[in-house]
Amino acid sequence: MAPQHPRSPVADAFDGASGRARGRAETGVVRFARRVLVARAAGLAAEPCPRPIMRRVASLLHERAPATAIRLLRLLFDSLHAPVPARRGRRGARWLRFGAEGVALDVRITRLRGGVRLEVGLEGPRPRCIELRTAGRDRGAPLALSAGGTAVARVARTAKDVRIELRLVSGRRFRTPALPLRD
Amino acid sequence: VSDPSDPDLVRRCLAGEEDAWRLLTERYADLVHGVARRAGLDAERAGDVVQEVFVALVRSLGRLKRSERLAGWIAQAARRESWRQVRRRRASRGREQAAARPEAIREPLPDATLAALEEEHLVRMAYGSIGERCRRLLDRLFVSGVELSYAEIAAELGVAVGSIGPTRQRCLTHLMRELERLGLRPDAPARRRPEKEA
Repeated sequence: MAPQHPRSPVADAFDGASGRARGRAETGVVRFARRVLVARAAGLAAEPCPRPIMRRVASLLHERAPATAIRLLRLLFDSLHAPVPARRGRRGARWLRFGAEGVALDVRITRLRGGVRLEVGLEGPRPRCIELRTAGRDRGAPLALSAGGTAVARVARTAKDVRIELRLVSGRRFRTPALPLRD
Repeated sequence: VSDPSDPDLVRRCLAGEEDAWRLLTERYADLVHGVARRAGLDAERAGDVVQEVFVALVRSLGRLKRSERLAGWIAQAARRESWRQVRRRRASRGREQAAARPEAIREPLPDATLAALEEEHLVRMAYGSIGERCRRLLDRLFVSGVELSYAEIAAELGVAVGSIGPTRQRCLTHLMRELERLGLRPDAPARRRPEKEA
């Protein structure tokens, strides 16, 4: 015997619609409860959207959503093409400066025997994250910014180019153009 | 705390909140995928439909006139895209003639099926808002397909038999409130063909 508990028209309707209680009058509430239970059963039986598809879509939306569109940081200075010879980078070292909307990013590229050294300096609002994206790799590598807004990274000598991407706390995203690492 | 309503979610998406886009995808991906699969598409093409519909949504979100009708807009878009994929599949199978005369082929999903899928989505959302404990209890009571006694359900859920009745009452009240919030009420007619434009 079921324990005693408070009854209500809604509980009675769901009992009737599910077949737990027989002989209930076919009221509007019972019909509604049946619609709900049919939809619930169909939903449970349906194949859910696979997670990889959802991840792919979420990533696409993030890229394409107008409010989160990535702004390109403009090249403001390149030591390789500096008009003043004294300011041109020496062989193997190149200094670049990018900027847009209150964000300035300095990048010093130094070729070493085993790879390429990147020194980054950021001025402006501290970002939520800053990443180094190497050509040919799907995922970016996070850069650890110091309290002063600087970071150092090393890239394999085989890498063709890199981009630096950053996202501010406000959600705004910025990206440098591709920085070639080879001649 | 209830999940954000569709209009709230749309506003947050337009403001560029990354979490809002993720929530929107999680909320509607099953609906779009369900429409595509019911239209007879395989898993790969169903995935393409999901992608295309959400990309179209990004383009159209700012122009939606009635964001509370987002489910209807998305269901219609999923049907259109599924139909496109069905025709593409037929064409690729060498049925160019049939694909060139779409009026000769019935739409892959009748209005009633689309409306049922949309209702399924709204019920899924309502169940999603009532908490795991309520979901498990109501499913055991009403949807399991096997008429379990209170004692069996109590043992399965690890609760006292005497708590089943009051908990059921509370969970049903919560469920009915969520259904009403989503526009599903006993006195409202069953959902018909969704509107053309949200």
